[in-house]
Amino acid sequence: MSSTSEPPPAPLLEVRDLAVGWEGVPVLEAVDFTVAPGEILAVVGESGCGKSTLLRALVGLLPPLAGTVRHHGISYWEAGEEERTALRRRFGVAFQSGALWSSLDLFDNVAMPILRAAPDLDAGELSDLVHLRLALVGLADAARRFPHELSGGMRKRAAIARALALDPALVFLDEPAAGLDPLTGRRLDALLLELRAALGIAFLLVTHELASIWTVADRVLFLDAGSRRPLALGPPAELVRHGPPRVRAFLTREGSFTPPPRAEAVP
Amino acid sequence: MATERANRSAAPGGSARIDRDGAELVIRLSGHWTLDARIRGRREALAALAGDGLRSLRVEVVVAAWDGRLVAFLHRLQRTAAARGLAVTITGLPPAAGALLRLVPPTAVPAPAAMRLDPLARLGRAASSAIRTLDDAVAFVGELALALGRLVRGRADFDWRAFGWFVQRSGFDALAITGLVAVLVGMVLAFVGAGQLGRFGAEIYVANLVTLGMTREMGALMSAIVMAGRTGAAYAAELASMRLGEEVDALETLGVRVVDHLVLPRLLALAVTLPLLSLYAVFVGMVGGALSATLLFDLGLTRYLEQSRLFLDGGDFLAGLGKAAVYAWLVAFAGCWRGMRAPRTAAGVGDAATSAVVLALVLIVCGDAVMTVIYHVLDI
Repeated sequence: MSSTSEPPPAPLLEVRDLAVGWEGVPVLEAVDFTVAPGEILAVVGESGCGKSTLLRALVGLLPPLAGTVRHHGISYWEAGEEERTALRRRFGVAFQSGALWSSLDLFDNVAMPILRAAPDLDAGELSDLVHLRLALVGLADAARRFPHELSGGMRKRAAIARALALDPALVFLDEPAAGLDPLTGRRLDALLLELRAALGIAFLLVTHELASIWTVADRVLFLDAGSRRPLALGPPAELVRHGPPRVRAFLTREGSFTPPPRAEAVP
Repeated sequence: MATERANRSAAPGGSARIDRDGAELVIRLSGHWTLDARIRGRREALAALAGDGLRSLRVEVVVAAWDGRLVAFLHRLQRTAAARGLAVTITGLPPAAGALLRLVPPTAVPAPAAMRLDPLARLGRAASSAIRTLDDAVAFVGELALALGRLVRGRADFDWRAFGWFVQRSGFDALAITGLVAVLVGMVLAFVGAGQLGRFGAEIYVANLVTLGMTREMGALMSAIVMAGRTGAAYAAELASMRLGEEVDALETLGVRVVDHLVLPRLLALAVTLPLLSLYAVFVGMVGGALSATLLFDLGLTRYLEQSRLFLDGGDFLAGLGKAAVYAWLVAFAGCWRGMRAPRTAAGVGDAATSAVVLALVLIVCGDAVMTVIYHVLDI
């Protein structure tokens, strides 16, 4: 096969025929998708459809039952330990609870991955790098505060700052808006768009929030708990028009930003 | 080492070169500005900003590769230059780096380092913290007393199922380890005693030594030490984790008195099981002493048992039992108090367990000393 046209940019993440589960029992099968540089992909579905299990397989916490996960073209689960470490440094992960290390303040939480990658950095430069990340998410003044002294929204932003510590091309976010008020959730969406626009970072977002999906996602991967398979993959606007009925129902349910018509006010 | 050096020499390099053009300082950044690169001239460039007669700074960026390290350095240059009143121009900046730089407010300055206290202030802080801790311990004892009062009047939120569960965990489940420790202590007592008493041809009095030692002192003490490490630490870790997971808060919002519900069952379970364990330890320890004396020192088993029986005194038994009862409350208090007051962090859980064990051991030793004096005065 030969082609003269420009090849599309290599995907940052390529998932082929992936099956994930626990103790040999699949929770999710036949998952196929890619994430291109600068793309925001939302993974959605009902509770128990395997979103978080899928995420664990993608970030190297849970070996898949079958299939491949390629980061930058390299099959993660077939790579050696050294190669895996190098791959891990090229993506960031922000966990649902924030997963900040509770015995470290914010500065040290962000400094930890930087120091592991570059142990010889001098204190001044490390401080600059950490404060750059904290300032990016609006937490420059909270560097010396501990996780338990932060609000839920601040913890989420701090987790993103830590995920950004090593300038990743792709960041995985597990339920970033869970437990936040809608306004803080929207601010977080704005932050993701800003980071994508400025730095070209791609995001893979596991979420329940319709508002987030409509605001930030370029494409949506809809997982189905019943069949344990992906139900649809595509831009949300297209899925609303041509997607399977359940996906259309999910996407138009409540948060599509078109407020339902109000009943006439009774005088 | 050799490999490390080879790796280092293989690391990409970057540099900051300084030029002066009249009142303008020109800093040229080239090469690799990435986390794994070796970068020369950073400090010199920052120091050059302090030069006399400067009015502006021009930064020329001609880097081959970059990451946040370049942006962090540019941000530092901007801040330092702005503080000195220099006008800053940056040329050749990769667009994404420029965007990142614009995202960070120019005034975002590193937070000051943690405050350092002089030794006197630190002493004062430690003293006031010790007073607060003591105050809190007294308050916790008060809470326990009130909770016990409610239990006696049948008004406590007492969890009987949990009580049964804790009795099993702190009693039955601890039989093996307590037995092992007690039998070894009995054997060592007999072994050491027989060695010395044998010099006077008085080996048979080993039976007295072991009987007295186990009943009055070692049975209770060894059981309490095992319980401090096993059950006291577990109490502290459980309660601290429950605080961390907001389980304690959830109970409080239901109107449940957490001391009644969480602390009392643990406390009373240990108050029941530790004296029983200590009786068991006394018995097993005496068996250990008999084994040691008869197997190693050729004392007849019948003679040994007869001597033990003659010497065995109900008063000594009760004295040991009384100590065990007191130790039970001390161990349970240390575990529950440290657990209920633990900070809501992962380290807090570990610290609670550690400090519960240390506190319990200190309390056991102090309690032993006080009770020995009391027994002496009362001639028990």
